[in-house]
Amino acid sequence: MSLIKELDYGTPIRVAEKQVSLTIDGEKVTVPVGTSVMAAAMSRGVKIPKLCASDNLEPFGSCRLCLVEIEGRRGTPASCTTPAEEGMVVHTQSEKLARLRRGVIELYASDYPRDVLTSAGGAEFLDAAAEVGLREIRYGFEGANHLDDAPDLSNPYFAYDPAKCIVCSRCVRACEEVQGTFALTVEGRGFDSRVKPGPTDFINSECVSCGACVQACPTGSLIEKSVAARGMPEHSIVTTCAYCGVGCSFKAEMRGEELVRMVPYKSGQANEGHSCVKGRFAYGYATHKDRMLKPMVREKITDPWREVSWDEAISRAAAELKRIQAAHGRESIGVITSSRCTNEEVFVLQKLARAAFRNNNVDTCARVCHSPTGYGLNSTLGTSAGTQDFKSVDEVDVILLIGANPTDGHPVFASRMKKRLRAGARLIIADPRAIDLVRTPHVKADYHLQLKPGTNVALLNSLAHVIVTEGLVDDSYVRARCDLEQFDTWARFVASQQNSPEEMEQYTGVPARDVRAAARLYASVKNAAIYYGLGVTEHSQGSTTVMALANLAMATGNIGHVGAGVNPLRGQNNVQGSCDMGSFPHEFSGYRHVARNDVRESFEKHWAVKLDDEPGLRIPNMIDEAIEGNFKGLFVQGEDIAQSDPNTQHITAGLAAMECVIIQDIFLNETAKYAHIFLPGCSFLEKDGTYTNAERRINRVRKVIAPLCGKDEWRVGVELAQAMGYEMNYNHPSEIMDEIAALTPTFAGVSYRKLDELGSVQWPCNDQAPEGTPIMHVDRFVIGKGRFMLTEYVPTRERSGPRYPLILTTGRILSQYNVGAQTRRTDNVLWHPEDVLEIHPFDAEQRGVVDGDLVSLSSRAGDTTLRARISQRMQPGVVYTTFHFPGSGANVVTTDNSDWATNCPEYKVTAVEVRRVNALSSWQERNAEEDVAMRKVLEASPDAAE
Amino acid sequence: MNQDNASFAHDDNKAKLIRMAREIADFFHAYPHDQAVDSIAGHINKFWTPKMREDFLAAAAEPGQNLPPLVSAAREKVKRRKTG
Ligand code: SF4
Ligand code: SF4
Ligand code: FES
Repeated sequence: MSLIKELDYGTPIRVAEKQVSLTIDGEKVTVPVGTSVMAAAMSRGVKIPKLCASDNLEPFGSCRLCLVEIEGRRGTPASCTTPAEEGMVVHTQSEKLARLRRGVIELYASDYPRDVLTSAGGAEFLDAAAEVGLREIRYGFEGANHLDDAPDLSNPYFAYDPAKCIVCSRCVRACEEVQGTFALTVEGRGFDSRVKPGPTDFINSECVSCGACVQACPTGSLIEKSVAARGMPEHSIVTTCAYCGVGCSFKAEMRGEELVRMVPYKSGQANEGHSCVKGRFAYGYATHKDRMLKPMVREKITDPWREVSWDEAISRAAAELKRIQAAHGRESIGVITSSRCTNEEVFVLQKLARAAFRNNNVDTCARVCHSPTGYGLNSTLGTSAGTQDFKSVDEVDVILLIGANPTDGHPVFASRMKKRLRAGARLIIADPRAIDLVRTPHVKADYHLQLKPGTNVALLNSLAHVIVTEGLVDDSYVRARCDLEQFDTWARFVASQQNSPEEMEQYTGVPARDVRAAARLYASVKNAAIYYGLGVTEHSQGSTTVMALANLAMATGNIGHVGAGVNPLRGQNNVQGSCDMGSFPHEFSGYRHVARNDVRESFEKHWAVKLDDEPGLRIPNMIDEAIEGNFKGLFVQGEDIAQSDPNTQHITAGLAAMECVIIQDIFLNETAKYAHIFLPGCSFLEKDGTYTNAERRINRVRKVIAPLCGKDEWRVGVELAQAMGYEMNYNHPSEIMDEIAALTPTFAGVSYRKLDELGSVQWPCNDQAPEGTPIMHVDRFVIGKGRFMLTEYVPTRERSGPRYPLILTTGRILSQYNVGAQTRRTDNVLWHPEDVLEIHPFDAEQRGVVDGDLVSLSSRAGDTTLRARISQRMQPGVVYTTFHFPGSGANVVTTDNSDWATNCPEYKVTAVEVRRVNALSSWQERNAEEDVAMRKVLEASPDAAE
Repeated sequence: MNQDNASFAHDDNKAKLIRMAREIADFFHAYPHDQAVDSIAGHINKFWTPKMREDFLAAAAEPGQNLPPLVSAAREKVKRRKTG
C-alpha cells in the first residue's frame, strides 16, 4: 500500500464539443476548447511546474512559475491562464524557462522558514522547488520578511502559519469557489499582502472548517494539526464518510496503524474532492475513551454491567430470545436496524428477524426520518428513491428547496448547489425558518416562502393551483408520460378555489402573490429541481407532501432529465441503503411486499426456511406492544431510540417493559440504559462494506484499522442467528453483497469487484444498466405511467392553543450530527456546546426572556429546559431547537403524532409553551441520576473478556 | 377531519389504532367513495400486523366509537388473521 496521489491537471477539465489540436514539446495534443495549455500538457503527462494553480480552481496566474514559450508569441506566458489554441506550438522547457522558474522559487523560498523545509506539510512547494532544480538560496533573512508572523491556532483541527504563506490565494479561492463561504481575504498589497480570516482569527470568522483551504495550500502554511502531531502519512485507503447522506469519499491517510488525516477523494463521485467539517475532521470519536470494547450483561437494568466473553454474550442473547419466544410467542421479539450501519450489516439483521426469529418484526431508524419518501415516491413514480445524481444540480435553472437546510445538514452538496446559484440559477425556499441559503455571500433566494410549520401540503397545493389554472402544465410531457385520467382528476382537484393561494394563505401565512410568482418561476424553465429534507417528511402529512412534490414535478415535465427531479436529501449516511436492504417490516430488499408469493419463494429457496407473509411491527408499534406486555425482546443495532425517537418517556417505558433488550453500539448510549445485553460495535474505520447515499450511489467502506472490540460488526448478527439454530454463513461482506445481488433485481449487477473497478454505482444496476443509473425514469416511469395523487390538506391535530401557544420545530446544525453520539465526542463541540432554543424577540419579550436565560419548554408530552437564544430566524409564534445532546431532552417534548401512512413522527410540529425558570426539569434531574446509576460497569474480572 | 384529544400523547393502543385508521381515511377522503374504502382497507392490510388488525376490528366494534363512515365501511375489507 502506498499514498494515493491524485493527478492535478492544474486547471479545471473543460467539457466542450469542439476540440483544438496543438503541439506540446513536439507532440500533438487534442483537447476540448477552453482547456489551458497547462492542462493540455498534463493530459500528455507533461507536468509544468506550478504553485497557484489547481484543477478544482479557476486559473489565477499569480505565481509565474508555470511559464512556457509559444512559437510566434512574445515573452513567456503563464500556461495556466493561456487557453490552448488550434495550431499552437508550445515548449515547456528551455534554458531560459528553467532560469526564470528557479528565480521565482528562490524568491519565495527566501521568505520561507528554512527549518520547516523538511517538516510536515508543504510537499507541493518542496516538489516545485525540486522540479525547477533549486539548489541554493542566494538571499538571507536579513531583509524584510514574514518569518515572525504569529500562527493562528484557533481552529481545533488545523493551524495557519502565515510565515509559510506565499499568498498564492489558493486557500482564498478554495473557500470561495469550492466551499462558497468567502471567509478568507487577502489584505494589503504587494509584499504586505496577507491572507486573513476576517478581523480576528479562524474560529471567530465565518469559516465553517470544511478544510478546502487546507487541502489547497501548497506550502503547509495551512496544515492539519494531526499531521503536525503525527507526521506525514505513508499509505492511504479510500473509504466513505459515515455521517450524512451525501456519502463523501475520503482517503484515510495512515501512518502504520494510526490514522493521520482524512482527505476528500477527488475521484469520489459524490463529493469530487470536497468535504465538510464532520467527515474531514470529526473522526476522533472512533478512538474516544468512551468507546465500549467488551460485551457486557446484567440481569436487571438497575444492576451494574458485567463484562463477559463474546461467546457468553451471544449465547445468552440467543437463549433469552428463544426463551421469550417460547413463553410469549413468535411475534414477541424483533430487531431495529440502523441507517448508520453498512448495507451488509443491515441485510444480515433483517435476515436474522425473518429467517431466525421467523417473523417480520424488523424496522429501521429510517422510520423516523424518510419513510414518507419511500411511500410518497413509490405511490407516484414507482420507486422509493430520489431521481437524480448530485451532479445534476450543475444544470438546474430553478431550485425549489423545501424543508431542508443543506448548508448545515448536507454541506458538501450545499457547496455544489451554491456554486450553481452563483452561476445564475434561481432559488425558491419554502421553510418556516430563515435558513442560511435565504441570504449567503453571493446567493440570495428569489422567494422565501416562510410558511407556518405543518402547512407544506397547503402551500404545495396552492403552487399546483397556479400551475394548472394559469396554463403552465407541460401538456406534451403529461400526455406522453403520465396516467391521464389521474392527471385530470388531480388537475380538477388542485384547480378548485379551496386550493388557491388566496384561500390557503390563511393556513400557510405566505402571501398569495409570492406563491403565484414562485409557481410561475418554477414552471417557467426547462430544468427545475426539487430538493427536500426532513422538514417535508416529519409531519402528519409527510407522505402526502412527498406526493405533492412528485405531482408538481410531473405536471411541469421535470422528471427524467438532467437538471430536474425530486431529490430527498437523506439524513444519515445509509438511510437509502437501510431501506433498500429490506429493513421495513412489510417488505424484502428492493421494496417488495412480503405477501408477494414469487418474491417470498425466492427468499425461502435461498434461505431454506419458511417465511412469514404478513407485515411485522414498526418501531412505534413495537413500543406500544411492549407497554401492553406483548413484545418482550429487542435487538437494536447502532441506533439510539431513547434519544432520537419522539416522546422519550413513552419510548423508555416501552423499553423498560421488555425482558431482554440487546444493544450493539460503539458507545453505551441512552437506549443502553434500558438494556440487558450490550455488544460492542465497530466504527466505520473498522468496517468493510457499502453505504448507499442519497443519490442511490453504492460506495465502498473499507477497513482502515482492525475492529477494536475484536469482532466485525456484521458477524454478530450471523453468530446470533447460528446460536438460535439458524445457519448463516459468510466469510466476508462481499459474500453478503453477492446474496443481496442474487435476491434483489435492482442490485443484480452489483459486486465488490464492480465497485472497485468503477468506484461506485447507482442502483438500479443490472443487465439493463450494467454501470448503474444516474438519472431515473428517463424515457418512462418505473411503473409505466406517472401517477398523480390527490393531496388534500388536512391540518395536523397538533395545534397551538391557550395552554401551548407556540409551535416548536426541530432541526440540526453543521458541526453536530444527529443524536450527537459521535460529534459530541470531538472538538466540534467548540462550535455547538449545547442545544439552545431559538425564540423570536417578540415571543421572548412577552415572556420576559432574555438571551441566555434558562427556559422551560413544555408540551402535552413532557417538559425540559434549555437556554434561550433570541433569533430573528424564526417567525413569531415558532420556536426552534436541535436534538444533538441527550440531556437537553428535545424529544421529551415531541409527541407521538405521526405521518398517516408510515408513522414517521411529527417532529416538526409540537405545540409548546416557554417560560423562564431557574432549575432543570424533573425529567432532566431524573435522567442525570439514571445516567450514573444505569451505566455502572463492574470492575472487570481479569479473564472475563476475550 | 381530525379531532383534538387532550391526552393523545399517551392514549392506549386501541384508541391509537382507531386514530391511525381515521388518519388514513383523511387522506383517501379526496377519492370517490368505493375507491377510498378499498384504499383504506388496502393500506391497513399492507402495513399492519394481523394482531393490529384484529385489535382494530375489536376496538371498532365497541359501541360509541362514532367512526367516520369511510372507516366504518373499510372495516369489512380489513383482512382477519389467518387461522391455523
Ligand atoms: S476551512 Fe473552509 S470555510 Fe474555513 S476558511 Fe478554509 S475553505 Fe473557508
Ligand atoms: S457532507 Fe456529509 S458525507 Fe460529506 S463529509 Fe460532510 S458529513 Fe460526511
Ligand atoms: S501556476 Fe500558473 S501562474 Fe501560478
